[in-house]
Amino acid sequence: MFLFLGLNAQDEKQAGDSLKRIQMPTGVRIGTDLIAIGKTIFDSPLSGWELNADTDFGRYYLALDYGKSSRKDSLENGYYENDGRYIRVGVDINFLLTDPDRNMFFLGFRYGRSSFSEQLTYDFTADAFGSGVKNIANPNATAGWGELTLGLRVKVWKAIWMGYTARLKFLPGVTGNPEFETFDIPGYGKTFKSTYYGFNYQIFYRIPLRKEKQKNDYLKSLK
Amino acid sequence: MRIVQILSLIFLLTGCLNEPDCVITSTNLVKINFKKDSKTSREITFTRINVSGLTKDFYAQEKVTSVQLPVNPDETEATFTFYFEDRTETIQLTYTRKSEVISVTCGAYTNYAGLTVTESSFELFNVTNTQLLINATSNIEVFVE
Repeated sequence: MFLFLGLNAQDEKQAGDSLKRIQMPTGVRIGTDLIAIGKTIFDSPLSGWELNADTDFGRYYLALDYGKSSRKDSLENGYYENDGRYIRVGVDINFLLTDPDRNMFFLGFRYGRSSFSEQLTYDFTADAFGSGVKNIANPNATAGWGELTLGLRVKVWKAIWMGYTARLKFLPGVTGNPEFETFDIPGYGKTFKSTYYGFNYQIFYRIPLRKEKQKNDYLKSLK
Repeated sequence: MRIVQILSLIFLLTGCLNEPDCVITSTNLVKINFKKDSKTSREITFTRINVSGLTKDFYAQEKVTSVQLPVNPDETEATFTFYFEDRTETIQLTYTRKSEVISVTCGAYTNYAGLTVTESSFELFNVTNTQLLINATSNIEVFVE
Protein backbone atom coordinates (compact mmCIF):
# COMPACT_ATOMS: atom_id res chain seq x y z
CA MET A 1 0.00 0.00 0.00
CA PHE A 2 2.86 2.35 0.89
CA LEU A 3 4.40 1.45 -2.48
CA PHE A 4 1.07 2.34 -4.21
CA LEU A 5 0.83 5.67 -2.37
CA GLY A 6 4.42 6.41 -3.28
CA LEU A 7 3.71 5.74 -6.97
CA ASN A 8 0.61 7.96 -6.82
CA ALA A 9 2.63 10.78 -5.30
CA GLN A 10 5.19 10.29 -8.06
CA ASP A 11 2.41 10.52 -10.71
CA GLU A 12 1.00 13.67 -9.12
CA LYS A 13 4.44 15.22 -9.03
CA GLN A 14 4.96 14.45 -12.73
CA ALA A 15 1.54 15.90 -13.64
CA GLY A 16 2.25 18.95 -11.49
CA ASP A 17 5.63 19.39 -13.11
CA SER A 18 4.05 19.25 -16.58
CA LEU A 19 1.54 21.97 -15.58
CA LYS A 20 4.36 24.19 -14.42
CA ARG A 21 5.32 24.57 -18.08
CA ILE A 22 3.50 27.10 -20.24
CA GLN A 23 0.93 25.20 -22.34
CA MET A 24 -1.76 25.97 -24.87
CA PRO A 25 -5.00 27.09 -23.20
CA THR A 26 -7.65 24.46 -22.55
CA GLY A 27 -10.52 26.80 -21.79
CA VAL A 28 -11.79 30.28 -21.02
CA ARG A 29 -13.64 31.18 -17.85
CA ILE A 30 -15.99 34.12 -18.09
CA GLY A 31 -17.56 35.55 -14.99
CA THR A 32 -18.83 38.51 -13.07
CA ASP A 33 -18.41 40.12 -9.68
CA LEU A 34 -21.42 39.46 -7.44
CA ILE A 35 -20.41 42.16 -4.93
CA ALA A 36 -20.59 44.88 -7.62
CA ILE A 37 -24.08 43.68 -8.55
CA GLY A 38 -25.10 43.57 -4.86
CA LYS A 39 -23.91 47.12 -4.28
CA THR A 40 -25.89 48.33 -7.29
CA ILE A 41 -29.08 46.55 -6.15
CA PHE A 42 -28.87 47.59 -2.51
CA ASP A 43 -28.48 51.30 -3.20
CA SER A 44 -24.90 51.70 -2.11
CA PRO A 45 -23.10 54.92 -3.08
CA LEU A 46 -21.31 52.68 -5.56
CA SER A 47 -22.98 51.09 -8.56
CA GLY A 48 -21.61 49.21 -11.51
CA TRP A 49 -20.69 45.86 -12.92
CA GLU A 50 -17.55 43.92 -13.69
CA LEU A 51 -16.79 41.14 -16.15
CA ASN A 52 -13.89 38.79 -15.50
CA ALA A 53 -12.19 36.32 -17.78
CA ASP A 54 -9.19 34.06 -17.51
CA THR A 55 -7.56 31.40 -19.61
CA ASP A 56 -4.97 28.84 -18.62
CA PHE A 57 -1.45 28.45 -19.92
CA GLY A 58 -0.44 25.57 -17.68
CA ARG A 59 -0.23 26.92 -14.16
CA TYR A 60 -0.31 30.51 -15.47
CA TYR A 61 -3.64 32.21 -16.14
CA LEU A 62 -4.00 35.30 -18.27
CA ALA A 63 -6.64 37.38 -16.49
CA LEU A 64 -8.71 40.25 -17.83
CA ASP A 65 -11.26 42.36 -15.97
CA TYR A 66 -13.49 45.01 -17.49
CA GLY A 67 -15.96 47.06 -15.54
CA LYS A 68 -18.04 50.16 -15.08
CA SER A 69 -18.38 51.96 -11.80
CA SER A 70 -20.01 55.12 -10.54
CA ARG A 71 -20.15 56.70 -7.10
CA LYS A 72 -22.64 59.23 -5.73
CA ASP A 73 -21.86 60.65 -2.31
CA SER A 74 -23.59 63.34 -0.27
CA LEU A 75 -20.79 65.04 1.61
CA GLU A 76 -20.90 67.01 4.84
CA ASN A 77 -20.74 70.24 2.80
CA GLY A 78 -21.60 69.17 -0.74
CA TYR A 79 -21.95 66.43 -3.30
CA TYR A 80 -19.51 64.24 -5.22
CA GLU A 81 -20.10 61.92 -8.15
CA ASN A 82 -18.00 60.03 -10.63
CA ASP A 83 -18.55 57.65 -13.50
CA GLY A 84 -16.09 55.62 -15.50
CA ARG A 85 -14.86 52.39 -16.99
CA TYR A 86 -11.79 50.38 -16.19
CA ILE A 87 -9.76 47.45 -17.40
CA ARG A 88 -7.25 45.27 -15.60
CA VAL A 89 -4.92 42.81 -17.22
CA GLY A 90 -2.43 40.48 -15.58
CA VAL A 91 -1.35 36.97 -14.73
CA ASP A 92 -2.38 34.59 -11.94
CA ILE A 93 -0.16 31.72 -10.84
CA ASN A 94 -2.03 28.61 -9.72
CA PHE A 95 -0.62 26.75 -6.73
CA LEU A 96 -3.07 23.79 -6.91
CA LEU A 97 -1.43 22.10 -9.84
CA THR A 98 -2.99 18.65 -9.69
CA ASP A 99 -6.56 19.41 -8.74
CA PRO A 100 -8.83 17.41 -11.09
CA ASP A 101 -11.63 20.04 -10.90
CA ARG A 102 -9.33 22.89 -11.84
CA ASN A 103 -9.85 24.46 -8.45
CA MET A 104 -7.34 27.21 -7.94
CA PHE A 105 -5.50 28.95 -5.20
CA PHE A 106 -3.62 31.70 -6.90
CA LEU A 107 -1.39 34.71 -6.54
CA GLY A 108 -1.04 37.21 -9.31
CA PHE A 109 -0.67 40.74 -10.40
CA ARG A 110 -2.66 43.18 -12.51
CA TYR A 111 -2.15 46.51 -14.19
CA GLY A 112 -5.30 48.63 -14.12
CA ARG A 113 -6.37 51.59 -16.26
CA SER A 114 -9.44 53.71 -15.81
CA SER A 115 -10.98 56.57 -17.75
CA PHE A 116 -13.60 58.51 -15.88
CA SER A 117 -15.24 61.81 -15.09
CA GLU A 118 -15.97 63.32 -11.70
CA GLN A 119 -17.83 66.33 -10.37
CA LEU A 120 -17.75 68.09 -7.04
CA THR A 121 -19.98 70.78 -5.57
CA TYR A 122 -19.26 72.13 -2.11
CA ASP A 123 -19.82 75.09 0.18
CA PHE A 124 -16.73 76.98 1.20
CA THR A 125 -15.79 79.90 3.41
CA ALA A 126 -12.71 81.98 2.64
CA ASP A 127 -11.27 84.61 4.95
CA ALA A 128 -12.33 88.13 3.89
CA PHE A 129 -13.87 86.86 0.62
CA GLY A 130 -16.83 85.26 2.39
CA SER A 131 -18.65 82.06 1.59
CA GLY A 132 -19.78 80.54 -1.66
CA VAL A 133 -20.46 77.38 -3.60
CA LYS A 134 -17.75 75.84 -5.69
CA ASN A 135 -18.51 73.65 -8.71
CA ILE A 136 -15.61 71.83 -10.26
CA ALA A 137 -15.34 68.97 -12.74
CA ASN A 138 -12.66 66.58 -13.91
CA PRO A 139 -14.27 65.47 -17.17
CA ASN A 140 -11.51 63.51 -18.94
CA ALA A 141 -9.47 61.93 -16.19
CA THR A 142 -7.39 58.79 -16.61
CA ALA A 143 -5.65 56.69 -14.00
CA GLY A 144 -3.36 53.72 -13.75
CA TRP A 145 -2.35 51.47 -10.86
CA GLY A 146 -0.88 48.10 -9.95
CA GLU A 147 -2.41 45.20 -8.01
CA LEU A 148 -1.29 42.09 -6.21
CA THR A 149 -4.04 39.48 -6.28
CA LEU A 150 -4.76 36.46 -4.15
CA GLY A 151 -7.76 34.19 -4.45
CA LEU A 152 -9.61 30.96 -4.86
CA ARG A 153 -11.70 29.36 -7.63
CA VAL A 154 -13.78 26.34 -6.70
CA LYS A 155 -15.85 24.26 -9.08
CA VAL A 156 -19.41 24.18 -7.76
CA TRP A 157 -21.33 22.50 -10.58
CA LYS A 158 -20.48 21.28 -14.11
CA ALA A 159 -18.94 24.30 -15.81
CA ILE A 160 -19.60 26.73 -12.95
CA TRP A 161 -16.82 27.98 -10.69
CA MET A 162 -17.10 30.41 -7.80
CA GLY A 163 -14.44 32.13 -5.80
CA TYR A 164 -12.96 35.33 -4.59
CA THR A 165 -10.18 37.66 -5.56
CA ALA A 166 -8.57 39.85 -2.92
CA ARG A 167 -6.67 42.77 -4.34
CA LEU A 168 -3.94 44.89 -2.86
CA LYS A 169 -3.98 47.95 -5.08
CA PHE A 170 -1.11 50.39 -5.10
CA LEU A 171 0.59 53.33 -6.80
CA PRO A 172 -2.45 55.12 -8.23
CA GLY A 173 -1.52 57.82 -10.71
CA VAL A 174 -4.11 60.23 -12.10
CA THR A 175 -3.99 62.71 -14.96
CA GLY A 176 -6.76 65.25 -15.38
CA ASN A 177 -7.81 68.65 -14.08
CA PRO A 178 -4.89 69.86 -11.91
CA GLU A 179 -7.35 71.80 -9.72
CA PHE A 180 -9.24 68.62 -8.79
CA GLU A 181 -7.79 66.04 -6.41
CA THR A 182 -9.42 62.79 -7.48
CA PHE A 183 -11.44 61.23 -4.64
CA ASP A 184 -12.34 57.88 -6.16
CA ILE A 185 -10.96 56.10 -9.22
CA PRO A 186 -13.42 53.61 -10.78
CA GLY A 187 -11.81 50.18 -10.45
CA TYR A 188 -9.30 51.37 -7.86
CA GLY A 189 -11.24 53.10 -5.11
CA LYS A 190 -10.49 56.07 -2.88
CA THR A 191 -7.15 57.68 -3.50
CA PHE A 192 -6.36 59.03 -0.03
CA LYS A 193 -4.25 55.96 0.69
CA SER A 194 -1.42 54.86 -1.52
CA THR A 195 -2.50 51.24 -1.03
CA TYR A 196 -6.11 50.12 -1.12
CA TYR A 197 -7.79 46.82 -0.48
CA GLY A 198 -10.38 45.38 -2.89
CA PHE A 199 -12.46 42.23 -2.82
CA ASN A 200 -14.50 40.47 -5.50
CA TYR A 201 -16.76 37.48 -5.04
CA GLN A 202 -17.12 35.99 -8.46
CA ILE A 203 -19.02 33.37 -10.43
CA PHE A 204 -17.53 31.91 -13.62
CA TYR A 205 -18.67 29.78 -16.53
CA ARG A 206 -15.91 27.79 -18.25
CA ILE A 207 -15.91 27.28 -21.99
CA PRO A 208 -13.56 24.42 -22.98
CA LEU A 209 -11.31 25.12 -25.95
CA ARG A 210 -9.69 21.70 -26.37
CA LYS A 211 -9.52 18.28 -24.80
CA GLU A 212 -6.98 17.89 -22.07
CA LYS A 213 -5.67 14.51 -23.18
CA GLN A 214 -2.61 14.37 -21.01
CA LYS A 215 -4.44 15.47 -17.90
CA ASN A 216 -7.42 13.18 -18.54
CA ASP A 217 -5.10 10.19 -18.95
CA TYR A 218 -3.42 11.12 -15.72
CA LEU A 219 -6.72 11.47 -13.88
CA LYS A 220 -7.90 8.10 -15.19
CA SER A 221 -4.68 6.52 -14.01
CA LEU A 222 -5.37 7.80 -10.51
CA LYS A 223 -8.79 6.07 -10.33
CA MET B 1 4.85 27.93 -0.83
CA ARG B 2 6.75 30.34 1.42
CA ILE B 3 6.05 33.14 -1.06
CA VAL B 4 2.31 32.42 -0.67
CA GLN B 5 2.55 32.74 3.10
CA ILE B 6 4.52 35.99 2.87
CA LEU B 7 2.16 37.57 0.35
CA SER B 8 -0.88 36.46 2.33
CA LEU B 9 0.57 38.20 5.37
CA ILE B 10 1.19 41.37 3.34
CA PHE B 11 -2.47 41.32 2.28
CA LEU B 12 -3.66 41.00 5.86
CA LEU B 13 -1.35 43.64 7.29
CA THR B 14 -1.56 46.33 4.64
CA GLY B 15 -5.20 46.01 3.66
CA CYS B 16 -6.65 47.88 6.63
CA LEU B 17 -8.52 50.94 5.45
CA ASN B 18 -8.88 53.92 7.76
CA GLU B 19 -10.79 57.05 6.92
CA PRO B 20 -8.56 60.12 6.95
CA ASP B 21 -8.69 62.58 9.84
CA CYS B 22 -11.16 65.48 9.60
CA VAL B 23 -8.44 68.07 10.08
CA ILE B 24 -8.34 70.85 7.53
CA THR B 25 -5.14 72.86 7.84
CA SER B 26 -5.51 74.74 4.56
CA THR B 27 -6.30 78.47 4.54
CA ASN B 28 -6.51 81.27 2.00
CA LEU B 29 -4.27 83.49 4.16
CA VAL B 30 -0.71 84.28 3.16
CA LYS B 31 1.54 84.94 6.13
CA ILE B 32 4.22 87.58 5.49
CA ASN B 33 6.94 88.23 8.06
CA PHE B 34 8.89 91.48 7.94
CA LYS B 35 12.55 91.26 8.82
CA LYS B 36 15.50 93.58 9.31
CA ASP B 37 17.84 90.69 8.69
CA SER B 38 17.56 86.94 8.82
CA LYS B 39 17.33 86.91 12.62
CA THR B 40 15.61 90.18 13.52
CA SER B 41 11.99 91.10 12.95
CA ARG B 42 11.09 94.53 11.58
CA GLU B 43 8.23 96.33 13.23
CA ILE B 44 6.13 98.39 10.81
CA THR B 45 3.19 100.69 11.42
CA PHE B 46 1.08 100.37 8.31
CA THR B 47 -1.11 103.18 7.08
CA ARG B 48 -3.06 100.41 5.37
CA ILE B 49 -2.65 97.32 3.20
CA ASN B 50 -4.81 96.70 0.16
CA VAL B 51 -5.63 93.28 -1.27
CA SER B 52 -6.67 92.92 -4.92
CA GLY B 53 -10.37 92.16 -5.27
CA LEU B 54 -11.28 93.71 -1.91
CA THR B 55 -12.12 97.30 -0.99
CA LYS B 56 -11.45 96.76 2.72
CA ASP B 57 -8.22 98.10 4.26
CA PHE B 58 -6.12 95.68 6.26
CA TYR B 59 -3.89 96.50 9.23
CA ALA B 60 -4.79 100.22 9.09
CA GLN B 61 -2.67 102.09 11.67
CA GLU B 62 -1.42 98.85 13.16
CA LYS B 63 2.13 98.20 14.33
CA VAL B 64 3.09 94.62 13.45
CA THR B 65 6.01 92.41 12.46
CA SER B 66 3.89 90.02 10.40
CA VAL B 67 0.61 90.09 8.51
CA GLN B 68 -1.83 87.52 7.20
CA LEU B 69 -3.50 88.58 3.96
CA PRO B 70 -6.23 86.73 2.09
CA VAL B 71 -6.12 85.49 -1.50
CA ASN B 72 -9.20 85.18 -3.66
CA PRO B 73 -10.57 81.60 -3.84
CA ASP B 74 -11.85 82.32 -7.37
CA GLU B 75 -8.50 83.53 -8.73
CA THR B 76 -4.95 82.24 -8.96
CA GLU B 77 -3.15 85.54 -8.53
CA ALA B 78 -3.19 88.37 -6.01
CA THR B 79 -1.58 91.74 -5.47
CA PHE B 80 -0.88 93.17 -2.03
CA THR B 81 -0.17 96.90 -1.76
CA PHE B 82 1.53 98.09 1.42
CA TYR B 83 1.31 101.74 2.51
CA PHE B 84 3.74 102.58 5.32
CA GLU B 85 6.34 105.18 6.30
CA ASP B 86 5.52 107.31 3.21
CA ARG B 87 6.26 104.30 0.99
CA THR B 88 4.08 102.26 -1.29
CA GLU B 89 5.29 98.74 -2.03
CA THR B 90 3.60 95.91 -3.89
CA ILE B 91 3.90 92.16 -4.06
CA GLN B 92 2.27 90.13 -6.84
CA LEU B 93 1.66 86.47 -6.20
CA THR B 94 0.42 83.45 -8.06
CA TYR B 95 -0.86 80.28 -6.40
CA THR B 96 -2.64 77.06 -7.28
CA ARG B 97 -5.94 75.83 -5.92
CA LYS B 98 -6.99 72.24 -5.59
CA SER B 99 -10.41 71.00 -4.54
CA GLU B 100 -10.18 67.92 -2.35
CA VAL B 101 -12.70 65.62 -0.73
CA ILE B 102 -11.39 64.33 2.60
CA SER B 103 -14.25 61.93 3.22
CA VAL B 104 -18.04 61.84 3.15
CA THR B 105 -18.26 62.90 6.81
CA CYS B 106 -15.50 65.53 6.63
CA GLY B 107 -16.54 67.06 3.30
CA ALA B 108 -14.53 68.98 0.72
CA TYR B 109 -12.22 71.96 0.89
CA THR B 110 -9.82 74.02 -1.22
CA ASN B 111 -6.10 73.53 -0.81
CA TYR B 112 -3.89 76.49 -1.73
CA ALA B 113 -0.30 75.79 -2.73
CA GLY B 114 2.36 76.63 -5.32
CA LEU B 115 2.85 80.13 -3.93
CA THR B 116 5.19 82.18 -6.13
CA VAL B 117 6.14 85.85 -6.03
CA THR B 118 5.93 87.04 -9.64
CA GLU B 119 6.77 90.65 -8.98
CA SER B 120 7.81 92.68 -5.95
CA SER B 121 8.87 96.25 -5.30
CA PHE B 122 10.61 95.00 -2.16
CA GLU B 123 14.18 94.33 -3.14
CA LEU B 124 14.71 91.38 -0.85
CA PHE B 125 12.20 88.66 -0.15
CA ASN B 126 12.14 84.94 0.35
CA VAL B 127 9.31 82.42 -0.16
CA THR B 128 9.63 80.11 2.84
CA ASN B 129 6.55 77.93 2.42
CA THR B 130 4.60 77.55 -0.82
CA GLN B 131 1.57 75.98 0.85
CA LEU B 132 -0.99 78.11 2.67
CA LEU B 133 -1.53 76.46 6.03
CA ILE B 134 -3.22 77.58 9.24
CA ASN B 135 -0.18 76.70 11.33
CA ALA B 136 2.47 78.02 8.93
CA THR B 137 4.95 80.28 10.70
CA SER B 138 5.65 82.11 7.46
CA ASN B 139 4.99 81.97 3.72
CA ILE B 140 7.08 84.92 2.68
CA GLU B 141 9.84 86.82 4.45
CA VAL B 142 10.27 90.43 3.31
CA PHE B 143 13.41 92.33 4.26
CA VAL B 144 12.78 96.01 4.98
CA GLU B 145 15.43 98.53 5.94
